[in-house]
Amino acid sequence: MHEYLKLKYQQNRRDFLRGSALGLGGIALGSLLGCNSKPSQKIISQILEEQNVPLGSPHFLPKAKRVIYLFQSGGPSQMELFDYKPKLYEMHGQEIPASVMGKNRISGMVNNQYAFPLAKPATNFSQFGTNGTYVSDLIPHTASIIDDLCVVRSMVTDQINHEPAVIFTQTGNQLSGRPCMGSWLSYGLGSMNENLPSFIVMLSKGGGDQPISSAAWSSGFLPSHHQGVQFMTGKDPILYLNTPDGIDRMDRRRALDFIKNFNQLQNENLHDPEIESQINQAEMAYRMQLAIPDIADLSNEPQHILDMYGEDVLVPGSFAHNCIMARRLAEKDVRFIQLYHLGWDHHGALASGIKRATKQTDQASAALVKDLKQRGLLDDTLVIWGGEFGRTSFSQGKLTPEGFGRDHHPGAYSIWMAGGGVQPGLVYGETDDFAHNVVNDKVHVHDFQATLMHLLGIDHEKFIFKTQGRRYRLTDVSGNVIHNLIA
Amino acid sequence: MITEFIGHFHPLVVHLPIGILIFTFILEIIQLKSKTKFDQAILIGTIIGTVFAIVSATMGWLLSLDGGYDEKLLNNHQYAGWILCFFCILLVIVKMFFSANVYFDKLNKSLWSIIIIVLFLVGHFGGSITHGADYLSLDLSAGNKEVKKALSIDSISALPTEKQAQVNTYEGLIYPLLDAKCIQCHNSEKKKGNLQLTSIDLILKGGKKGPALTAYNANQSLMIQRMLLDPANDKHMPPKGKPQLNNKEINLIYWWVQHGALVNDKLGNALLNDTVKNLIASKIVPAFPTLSLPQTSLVDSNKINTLKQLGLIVQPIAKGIGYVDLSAMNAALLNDVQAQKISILDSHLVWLNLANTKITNKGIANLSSCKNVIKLNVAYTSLNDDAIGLLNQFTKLSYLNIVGTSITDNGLAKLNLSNNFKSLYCWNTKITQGGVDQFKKRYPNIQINF
Repeated sequence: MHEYLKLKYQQNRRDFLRGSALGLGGIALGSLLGCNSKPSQKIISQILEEQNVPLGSPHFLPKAKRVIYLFQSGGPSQMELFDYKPKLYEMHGQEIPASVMGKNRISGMVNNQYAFPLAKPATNFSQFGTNGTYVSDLIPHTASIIDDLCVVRSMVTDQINHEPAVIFTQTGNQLSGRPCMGSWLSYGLGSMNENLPSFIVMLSKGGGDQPISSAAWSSGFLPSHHQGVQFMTGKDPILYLNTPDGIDRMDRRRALDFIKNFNQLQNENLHDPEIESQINQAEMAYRMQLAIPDIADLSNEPQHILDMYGEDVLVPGSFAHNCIMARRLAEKDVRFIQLYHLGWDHHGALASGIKRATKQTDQASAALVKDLKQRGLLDDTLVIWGGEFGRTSFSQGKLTPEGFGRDHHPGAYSIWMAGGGVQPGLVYGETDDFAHNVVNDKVHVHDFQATLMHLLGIDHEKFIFKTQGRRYRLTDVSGNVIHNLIA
Repeated sequence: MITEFIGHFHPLVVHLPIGILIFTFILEIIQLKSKTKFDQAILIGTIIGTVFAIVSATMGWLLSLDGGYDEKLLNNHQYAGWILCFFCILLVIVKMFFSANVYFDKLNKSLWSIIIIVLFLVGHFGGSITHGADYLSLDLSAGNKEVKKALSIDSISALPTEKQAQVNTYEGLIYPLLDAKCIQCHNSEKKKGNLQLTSIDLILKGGKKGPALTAYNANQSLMIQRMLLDPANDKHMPPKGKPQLNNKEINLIYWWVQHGALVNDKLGNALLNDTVKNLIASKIVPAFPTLSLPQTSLVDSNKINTLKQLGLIVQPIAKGIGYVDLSAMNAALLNDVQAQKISILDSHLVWLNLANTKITNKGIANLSSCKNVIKLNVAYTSLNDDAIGLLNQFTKLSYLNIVGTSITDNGLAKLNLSNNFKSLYCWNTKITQGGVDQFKKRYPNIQINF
């Protein structure tokens, strides 16, 4: 009964106590001063109203309206991709200097290693673009658009293992349970297309072994219709969406209306946000019945566009396929499109592993940026490419030409961003000669999140949700906007 | 190591003997006036007070080994502390062994008087060390001090240029920074690391590790090095938990040292330098992106509802701003007649997305009242070359997307764009490389994506 009353009055216990303390205090003071206690009642209602209202519109003029996040799960090696370190070739096989190693945390997987020999990158580098930026030979397509990219070489995270590091990057906290970026934005800014969810997630197949948990696209304590809608890799992107044969769409509509009435009746009594989510989701599914087949149908894409994304583009579930889907969703103004590609966790046989991972992702990532640009969408679409941490400059296990690998390394890694108001052609941040420690312009995950919010017109310190007696932000109590990344 | 650590508890423990001794003294007075007997309690109070006095004096001595305090104040505090301990011990001996003596009362009273006086002295000296000698004095010059502090990078960037030039760089910018973030621990009374930052001479004199700065060489300057260390590093300054210098403040001090750490230089000279100019100007006090349009009233919600009924999405571009973003994303069937309704937004409309709708040249002609359109997307509509003359009336445009329309080189040649225009998207049209080359000759600074 208590729970019921609580919901009915839309008031939680702490606010009730605070309210009554203020109220009683106000009454006492009022009788002392000989006036009535109305002003204090006003304060109580204000406290209740100030809580948890979505932003609706951004705090200030946004540079980006949508985000496409190409998450490279597993921890891509910065030394083989964007952070060129000639010293590693010179000192191949030598022990990493103690001053470089420092007191950095190393994972349990290499903790018992008796030696930490530096490993030269399993590739060569060449200069690209007007600034002569060094980019790995493994990613020629990405290198060809380097003038459109903003490469950050000085990323730093707090986590050393996959699951907590992914959750940390997505939600700002290492434990699952908080809302991820996509959910925050869906909740805060709302939808730009009422026929599609504002947060869509796609996983690519054929990557690798490390799984990814759906906690990474959870809405946490935000209303659950803001969680990421996961597109499946088969024929139907969303299961059970189609109306079965023999059922008329109008019958579906009538059934939905009937159920909705019941839900609304129940909601009037209980005011449970999850009932509202249920109503929202059923309506969204109904509208998606028309929108999704249109999105998923690639038959009207001209051949030269398909060729840009690579040979896998027509294979559902491939990274290339998801990239072209991401572009189609961005064209439809979906707020946050989250891709996950697995298979960057190269503890051993890095040379062949990274060759496979780059082959799967390089062409399509670059094609996505080019395709968005030619359609005029890159101006207000922020594309992010990056993983949850970097990799060690020393070898995990024995240093052999083919067999060597690299372990997890939270102390320095590289990502890139494009469009959406970031500075094109910029290379930001600097690591030491071993790509092991950041020496200049450190960008912590919270700084990255704050900057992302800023590009979407949100002040990350003012975008707050209160639950369980505490106020939460994506960046919680940290994060500085890196203004130098912004054009 | 461990002794210093124990010493750090001195400021905590020191309050025990003060409280206990004063409380015992109050009991003595009550006993004297009211004849109530507190003898037992007074004896216990005296003994415990004495023990804690000795313990905290010892801790204080250990703490003083750390160094970095004003020597004169420290010596006074230390001697007074030992004297207090001595008289406390004397009082305990008198109370325990000479309570039957004829002189006991006189001895007791005089010892208590000495102890209370010394106690206040010790407390005062100690307080002066931690809070500064002028902590308890009424500062009548506080008004002047405020003016000095009120100058900061933000406030200077708000000044008109000619006033900015008059500001003394050291007094106006550098000293207030040091005062706010460093001088609390590096002053004449509390010189941590034997370093004082209160004047340029003392900064140059430096501390335990040598001069705090090397003029014209910021990278070799100890204070700069310490500021730039990772905040987690023990040697980082200001120490963990104290108010930190932010990036632009560090940049400013860095610049000042790099340019000779001059004390008489006016900002006028400094402003000739790009680093400082940028620092003072926009780059370092990042302004939020704004539209270069005047303030306007919010759009009437009735107008927004009218447009919503057509399936159009209308939203203010930011909270509390009267300019709106209109998207026809969910209104693929929007025709010219319906689109005419959009013109009720007139000057409030800044971002307009009509891509993939059924709008034609005529529909664009109806929107002539929307003068402030900055971003216009008419991709994949049936617009043709005749629409260009109509597009030219949007004089504020900075983004135009005509992807997938049937506009040709002739149309592109007729397009007139203002200086504010940034990017034109004309991929997948009938425009050819030749047309683009012609366009680039007319508008070399505009980004054209073809």
